[in-house]
Amino acid sequence: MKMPFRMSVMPSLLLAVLVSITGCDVVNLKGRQPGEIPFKLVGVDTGACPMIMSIGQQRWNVDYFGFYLSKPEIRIDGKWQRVKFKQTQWQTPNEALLKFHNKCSNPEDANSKIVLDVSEELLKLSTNLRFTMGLPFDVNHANPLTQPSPLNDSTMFWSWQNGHKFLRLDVSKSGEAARKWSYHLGSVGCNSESAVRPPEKSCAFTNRVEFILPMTQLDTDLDLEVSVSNIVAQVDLNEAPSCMFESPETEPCKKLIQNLVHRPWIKWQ
Amino acid sequence: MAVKVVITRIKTQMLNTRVIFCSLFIIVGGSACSKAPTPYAWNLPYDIPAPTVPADNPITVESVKLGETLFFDTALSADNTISCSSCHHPENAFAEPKPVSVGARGDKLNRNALALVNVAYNASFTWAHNNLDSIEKQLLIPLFNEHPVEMGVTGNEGVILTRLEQGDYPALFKAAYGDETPNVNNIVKALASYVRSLVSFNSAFDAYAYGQDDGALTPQQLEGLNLFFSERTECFHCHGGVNFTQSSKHSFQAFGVQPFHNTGLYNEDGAGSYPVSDMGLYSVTFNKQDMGKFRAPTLRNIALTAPYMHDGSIATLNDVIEFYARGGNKAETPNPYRSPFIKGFTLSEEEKTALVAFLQSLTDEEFIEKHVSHKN
Repeated sequence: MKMPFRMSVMPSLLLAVLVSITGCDVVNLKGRQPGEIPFKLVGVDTGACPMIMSIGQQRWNVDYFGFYLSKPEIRIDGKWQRVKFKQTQWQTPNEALLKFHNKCSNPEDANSKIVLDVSEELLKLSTNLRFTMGLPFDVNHANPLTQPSPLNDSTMFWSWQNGHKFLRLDVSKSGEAARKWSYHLGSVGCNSESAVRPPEKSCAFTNRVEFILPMTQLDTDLDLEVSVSNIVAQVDLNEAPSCMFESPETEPCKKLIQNLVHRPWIKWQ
Repeated sequence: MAVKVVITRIKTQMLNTRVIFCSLFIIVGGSACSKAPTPYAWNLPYDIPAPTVPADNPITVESVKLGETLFFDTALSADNTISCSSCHHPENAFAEPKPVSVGARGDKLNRNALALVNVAYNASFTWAHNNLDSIEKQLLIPLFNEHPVEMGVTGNEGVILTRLEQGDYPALFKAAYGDETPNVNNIVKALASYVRSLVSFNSAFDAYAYGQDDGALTPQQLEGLNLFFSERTECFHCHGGVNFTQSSKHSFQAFGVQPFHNTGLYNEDGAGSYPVSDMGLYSVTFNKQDMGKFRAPTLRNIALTAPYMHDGSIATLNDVIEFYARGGNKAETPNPYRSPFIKGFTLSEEEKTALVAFLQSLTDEEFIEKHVSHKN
């Protein structure tokens, strides 16, 4: 009974070692800039191209996985302080796009880190990190064609909802490319922007998820891990239809949003 | 003395530099600055008011021309196979004579291609959406949608923009937007300008109603007109106003009428539900009251836009009248969402024929001929 297990683990280990040597992920080799927090996928073979996610005995190709984060804040002496992302092609001061699926095939088209515009000293004083998965209302609904990168990334446009996808996961069963499953999340049921209605009341389902993560001095060297299997926990990708928000009250959309809110799919490694 | 000479030389050099800069400025100004785009003249008949145009996309002769060229060009689809006109045929008043459209990669869409007639006057866009307030926003759907793929622009912007650096395009972009390099925002603006320019108010009905030409309609068409605007058929409640749809900016603002209606086309569960594949406005608002509600489309040029309804499930105008005459499908089954105006009516065969004849009087031959000839 043990042999098949070992047989299956060994190639993965070898692959992992090989990947680290070949430099698929060179961020840590070059050292970390102040405020940089890498995100690592867990439960996903990031060395394979395309990346492969294992759920039980099944293997699924991760054809697309990305999400927006916004409103970064740190807590110092019990008070929340707004901080900014460093402006790059992946970040505006208030929004960042994490995009993992291209990590091996087109590393330049992938981003697996956020960079806060803060000093290491300030980070060391922080007791919590807070951010939102999703985009603020006004940014979400502004003309995406004229917004700065990464808000103009058309793969995250959600034009039929007049906004952006906040999170996008497209998978296909390994060896059965035609068998696809998708989860697209964003604000739905939104009314037109109106001067007489506060933004947070403008969407029936805002579908943003807030994260508050504890920090200690040690965390300046830690990575955040992202668990795709927690996002799709208890959803049978073979049987369940995709959730691209035809209705938020039907399965699997209901289960998936519960997972996003209640399962720790982003946490310190 | 030596110092003075040096200073003088520096001054002279600075002067020369200034002269060079000034000359350069004049040359650049004289040769590269194209003339300002020409404001578009609507030339609307019968004192019909001009539609509203977004302040950030003024309509010009040049933007309409660029938009028209793009509209008929397959270069705008990812694999260079289809254009906007593949699903919006000028000869069909920019609708399509098949139930639902097919995208660039063979994906079947859920809905029938809407006619592009007087869209500039629309209060809302697509068959059912309460959160798209401009053609510019609506255009992102056919361009960027991935489920299903329509034009397939997403991720293919580079190859499409490269195609638009050839031929007449640099001059067209330059004339419209002062920059010969194409970008997606200007593509959307130009397409919106062209679609906005598709106005149609020259039907026989218009000649009769607004032109006071008593001979413009036949007696049969007049009989149909009176039936259309009667409480017997209730047609005008949803298809009222100058554009034969409540969903126009003028009537929407004046009366605050909800422009989406459930016609009773489906009742899947005996409780009014529409098929999960398309539940109309509900799919956008997730408000139960919006189940199966769709925008009443304009009836202008309606004789050319078969098949009918959001899914193209009714083939002819005669069949549409029969559908409303029987009070929608499964009229006897309770349906809390069905519009109270859909209550069925009884018309003689002659009256039904007259109603169809009236609908045919809404065809604007001049509009069709003009745009078919542009296509060719």
